Amino acid sequence: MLVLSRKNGQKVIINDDIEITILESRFDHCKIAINAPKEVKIYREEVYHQIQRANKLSNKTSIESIDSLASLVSQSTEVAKEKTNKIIIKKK
Amino acid sequence: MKLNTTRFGELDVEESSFFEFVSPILGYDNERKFILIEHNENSKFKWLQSVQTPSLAFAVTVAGLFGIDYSFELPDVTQEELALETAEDILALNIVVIPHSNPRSSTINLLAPIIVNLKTKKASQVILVNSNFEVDYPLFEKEVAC
Repeated sequence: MLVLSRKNGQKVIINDDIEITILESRFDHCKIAINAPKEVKIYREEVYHQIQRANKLSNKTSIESIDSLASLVSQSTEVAKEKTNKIIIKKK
Repeated sequence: MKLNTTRFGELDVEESSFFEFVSPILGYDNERKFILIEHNENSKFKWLQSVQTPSLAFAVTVAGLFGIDYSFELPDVTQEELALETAEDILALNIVVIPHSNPRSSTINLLAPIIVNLKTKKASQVILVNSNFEVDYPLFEKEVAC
């Protein structure tokens, strides 16, 4: 692994088109700015891992588990009225 | 073709119905082909079954079926990688986690839906980075202790 020292305001360039700037760093907190092509996906690590974990847990589901959840749902009075998902995309 | 699965036994499936993941389900980089299986007739739940790995299947549902307000703007990158032309071609599935011993505390992942272009069958797990959606949103209200 490459380890670099940077001062506030200094940058790192990765692969010609990704630019990382240390905006502000003090004590245990560091603010960084990332400039990258829009197809580069950037996530906070903990969010990424939380999703991985949920995916892994979902793969542990058995047919019986869904059956028991489905019967809970059908008995439940608190499940609200069905709605339609509203997903917007840019017009071409 | 015949598809062998751990949960559902041998299934007869059409290759044309396979979803092809252009961005993977996180943690499953090598699994790119899935098929959607109804849990049973009229069920709110479905399964996203791997074509390659018989034991790999995710429990999924549609958020709106639980009265959840699920509106968001799809990231441009996703629109492009799935070659989406109109919002009508979108299927948004949410992965569900059901604790084996306590289905009441089941959760639904609203932050990272599976987005499918029903026309091209391209799919992707998308992280809605600028939203307030949660990974483990409870399907039921927490029980109030009396």
